[in-house]
Amino acid sequence: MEPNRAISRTSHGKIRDRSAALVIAGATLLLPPVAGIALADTTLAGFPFALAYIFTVWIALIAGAAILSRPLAKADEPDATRNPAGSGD
Amino acid sequence: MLSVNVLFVSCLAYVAILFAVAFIVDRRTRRESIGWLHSPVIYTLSISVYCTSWTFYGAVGSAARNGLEFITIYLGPTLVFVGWWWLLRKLVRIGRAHRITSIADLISSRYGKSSSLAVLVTLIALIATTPYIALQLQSVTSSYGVIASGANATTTAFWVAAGMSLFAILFGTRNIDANERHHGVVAAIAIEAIVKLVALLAVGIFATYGISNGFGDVFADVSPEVLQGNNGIFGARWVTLTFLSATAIICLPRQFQVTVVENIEERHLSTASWLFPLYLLGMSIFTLPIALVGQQIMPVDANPDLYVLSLPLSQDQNTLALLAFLGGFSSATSMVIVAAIAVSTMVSNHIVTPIALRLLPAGTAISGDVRSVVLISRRFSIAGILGLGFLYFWVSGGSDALAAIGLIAFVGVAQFLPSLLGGIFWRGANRAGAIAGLLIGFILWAYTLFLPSFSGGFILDSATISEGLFGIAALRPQSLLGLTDLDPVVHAVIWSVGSNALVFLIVSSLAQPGDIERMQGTLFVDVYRSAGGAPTGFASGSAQSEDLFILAQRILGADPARRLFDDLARTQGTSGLPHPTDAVISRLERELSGSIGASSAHAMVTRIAGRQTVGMTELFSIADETQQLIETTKQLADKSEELERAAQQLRTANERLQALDTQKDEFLSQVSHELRTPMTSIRSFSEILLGTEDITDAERDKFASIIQEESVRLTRLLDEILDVSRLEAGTAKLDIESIELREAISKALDTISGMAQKLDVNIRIGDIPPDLTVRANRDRLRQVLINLLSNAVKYNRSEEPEIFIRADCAGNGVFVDVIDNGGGVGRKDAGIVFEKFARGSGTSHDYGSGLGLPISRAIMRAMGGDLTIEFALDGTSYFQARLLRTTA
Repeated sequence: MEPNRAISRTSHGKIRDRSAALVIAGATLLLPPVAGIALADTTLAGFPFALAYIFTVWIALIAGAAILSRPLAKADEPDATRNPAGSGD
Repeated sequence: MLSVNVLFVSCLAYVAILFAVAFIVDRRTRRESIGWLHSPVIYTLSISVYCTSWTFYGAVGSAARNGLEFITIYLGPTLVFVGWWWLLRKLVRIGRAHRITSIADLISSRYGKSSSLAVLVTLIALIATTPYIALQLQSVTSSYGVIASGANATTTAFWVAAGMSLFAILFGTRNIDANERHHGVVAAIAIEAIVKLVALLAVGIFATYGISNGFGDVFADVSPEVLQGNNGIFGARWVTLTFLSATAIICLPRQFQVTVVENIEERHLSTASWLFPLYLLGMSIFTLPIALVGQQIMPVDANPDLYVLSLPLSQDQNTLALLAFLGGFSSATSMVIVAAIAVSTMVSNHIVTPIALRLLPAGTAISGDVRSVVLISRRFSIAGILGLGFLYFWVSGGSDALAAIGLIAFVGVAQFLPSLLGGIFWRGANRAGAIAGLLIGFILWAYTLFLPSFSGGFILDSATISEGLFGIAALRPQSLLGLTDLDPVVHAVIWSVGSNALVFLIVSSLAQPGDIERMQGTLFVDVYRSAGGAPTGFASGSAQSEDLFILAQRILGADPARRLFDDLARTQGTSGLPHPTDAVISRLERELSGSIGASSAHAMVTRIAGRQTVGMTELFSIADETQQLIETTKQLADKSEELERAAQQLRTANERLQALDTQKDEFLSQVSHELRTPMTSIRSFSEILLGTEDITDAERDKFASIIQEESVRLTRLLDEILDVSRLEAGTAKLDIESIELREAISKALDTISGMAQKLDVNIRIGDIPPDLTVRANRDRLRQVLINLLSNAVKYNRSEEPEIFIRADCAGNGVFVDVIDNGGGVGRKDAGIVFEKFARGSGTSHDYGSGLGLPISRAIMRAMGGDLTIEFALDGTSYFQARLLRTTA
């Protein structure tokens, strides 16, 4: 196997791992019990903390998805990852 | 105050614009593709059909009552789109590869094109969608009522429903696109998506900065209780609603329609993965401020669900109010139109068309009238669905029960989730499991959530709802089996979705899937592995024949398929491809079933013949798989042949080894026999010499000389045995040089001349050129020649013994023949004279060791030549030594 091909393949795997990590992190932060930390009776820049917390996580998720979208789309190009003919397992 | 006339005219103008856009786009895409329509932004905007009037108006009302909880409706879709790589990508890939037209089509296709499953999914979708459509009608009429107070709600709702169904029929059923894509509708919905976002942002900015003094002011004295609302946040309800909204973005028929079916390019999904959550963020950023400002300045009895509209009106912001109304109107219409198209596709494909085709005279299906049947049934379905929605609205009287209908619909369509996820990730999922799960989920949904929402007005009376079925407390719909203290939605999700998934798992693992199910399962689960082909149309008869021919080629191979189709065409008396008549199809089925089994052949052929719509690529994938299987079988057969050959070789080698082993044993026993004879005489005579006292000197000399002779013979024998084994093993090194043949022969003759004279043998030499040279070892060649000549002399039993020696050249070979007139070797003995210790049958008393000829032959072979017995025409035999001629 040529070296650059190996590199590009591992980076595709890495991108996918990051995408999975993003979703899992998002779900963890937005759902109880972790989301319960947002109930602290305080404010952040004038916003109630719970509201600020949810929107911050939300914006971070959107940003993460935007950053990952192009490399993921590239990894999805048919010739990039797999042999389309496929011969079963 | 905004005048009703202005509102009415604006609405009509807006609708006219939508019609015009849809019309223009539809017409232009027919001629050429429109660049901007292929943009991922349009795709994302069309997905925003998720935001209905329920979210446009209702989110603010929800925020006023339940605080932050409204956000869960956006968080679920956000998570699903951020994680598009893991689920949506696969759905879209499957949808494109298998030309899926709706969620019912996907589920039934996956489970072996099961029509009962398709009907079940369609019915659930229809039942869940109808109240949802009624909710949109209600929001339009009540928002209209805010401005035009006194307007008849039912009349308004009727005209709204009629207008929407006209739009959906005009642009949703203009044609049966192979891919069920509606470019005009998508373009109109994209415009509506922008309008509703702009409207909501405008109202939000007005509330925050026009009425209040920015966010700081809005949130200045907000207590945590307001954010937590009536139900509290970050609890079971929070998780459930997030789950439900995540499910809805996949399972709602209209979401499936825009996300999967209307997807033009897969890569658009990667843009939507962040752009759609961003759109949702934009839709919800001002929700809480509008609710809070509304609560501050609006009268206590004002409906928070209409703050978006009533807030600008109360401040005499007529333009803004008009924009807000159009935003709500857009939310409602886009949802209704897409939902009607999506559900009508399912109703017409899976319920109306199959029935119509059964009722219509046979032959319609083949003659191509199916298209008009499908179109008509789809138009009637759209009208029917909107009619049902209107009827629901009318009968329920726009009651408050409608407010909860959004979530009820979400739980209803969430019943698709186990079959959907199981279908695309689990090969073992099967039809029985899907049907059982869907049925149990649907029944529990209806019992625990849908029917109780009518508060006793429909099927279940209020006594049953509060006391349980037949008065059994354990059967209370909202605390089933004593599961009390739960929010009704959470309770219903746990029971319906939980039982659905569990039953689906258990029944799937118990039931055996059919052939088609298994194949479809593999194709769906391994969709990334199979090549996604371009969709193939097969509307006309010739296209069917062609498709059948391609299929046959894939299964039978090119030549057999050609022969079969030629034969079929001949039977019909046509040239080219035969018409796909029933006879042709059943013949083809029989032929194919030989290769792929009867059921698969039946399914494939009938589907191609157009009795059901089907993804051509999936069939070809199956065919390719079959071909691969046949290839594998062939390779296996080849392999076993090869193995058979190897085994045969092994057997031969083994036989040879056994023969060699026997030869070795014989050789050893012969060697011991040969050694035994001299040893015995040596031993006997030495015993006589030692044990006998009165022995004469003459006798002693005689015995001693015998012992000496036998010892010499023994030594010679041992030398020869060693020699022959060394020569045969190839370990004896022979120095090869160029030798004059004539000289070598005369020297050998000199050696035996004494013996020849004694026995009176006449020796003649033929004409041998003096310069003829051969490649040989001088001493060894002489040894061979002496051996041959002495044999000829010794064993010659003729009256006048004579030996003739001649030499011939042929190519690079030189043949030396030693011919005697003593009878030679008989044919019987020819095979064995070269074996060790063998002697001719007519041997004289003066025998040799029996190793002379084997050694001679081994020597000749070691020198690159050979020694053989040749037979002349008269039957006499002679020895022929072959040597290599020296090349210049």
